[in-house]
Amino acid sequence: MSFTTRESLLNKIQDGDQASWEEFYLLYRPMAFRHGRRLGLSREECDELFQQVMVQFFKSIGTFHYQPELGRFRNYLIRALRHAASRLLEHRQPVEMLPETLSAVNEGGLLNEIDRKILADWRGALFNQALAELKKQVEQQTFEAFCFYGLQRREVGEVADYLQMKPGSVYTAKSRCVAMLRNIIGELQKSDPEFKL
Amino acid sequence: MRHCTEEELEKCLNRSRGRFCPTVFLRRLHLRNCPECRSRFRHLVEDDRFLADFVRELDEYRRRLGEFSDSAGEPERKPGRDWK
Repeated sequence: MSFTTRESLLNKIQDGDQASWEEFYLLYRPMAFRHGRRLGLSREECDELFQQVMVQFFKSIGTFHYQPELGRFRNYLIRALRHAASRLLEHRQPVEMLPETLSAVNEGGLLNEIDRKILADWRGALFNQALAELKKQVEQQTFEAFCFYGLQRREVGEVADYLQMKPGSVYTAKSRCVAMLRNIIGELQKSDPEFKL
Repeated sequence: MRHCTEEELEKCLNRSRGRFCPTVFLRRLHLRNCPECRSRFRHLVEDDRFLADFVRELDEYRRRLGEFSDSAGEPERKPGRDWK
């Protein structure tokens, strides 16, 4: 497989590849933003949160060697987000944050729930990535047939007419794309086998 | 006797979607006793469930992200008013 897995993305970043940095940014910024919002951070603070995580990651990139067997990047990112958010929240206390809320954050009760939500976002982001990768790998017509018939569940006759295909070709497109999508997700999961997709 | 075509299996799946009972719907297949067709049909059902879960999670994720929702590049043209 030649597409970007977590491991290859991190390796490219380490090599200073600008496009990979941008991909990293687009992939993880929404996750950081959602994390911050759940903790009650303002939009500006959410941007600050992600900046801090990026800066931290940038500082460590020279010595960072991604070794999936030693710890998932997912866990690394969640830890980094958690610490950065705690720092931001501490700076707001006592004016804007109730002590009991800060205490709950620090003790982990609230964080468990937040971690669960981050993991749901993580899954969603990977699914999004898998679909984008599928689009790159098949013809436009095949991808559209899959989206309309397989994902949106429109009537096969409608889809066939619209795309000027035979119904049989729509079925074939769906079948082929499902197999490829499963394969892509399987590849993405290789770098994080404990994470059920 | 011939095997079920892809189209016949898909039609059977579409009819059963949402209220799936393999026994009932496999009876509708004219080759209901053919292990190969049954196997193909079951694969189709698995794919269908996989896609349903996939779409549900992706939709939820995009709804959660709101303005940050990043389409994976699904087709912009949509069947509907401008449908052919």
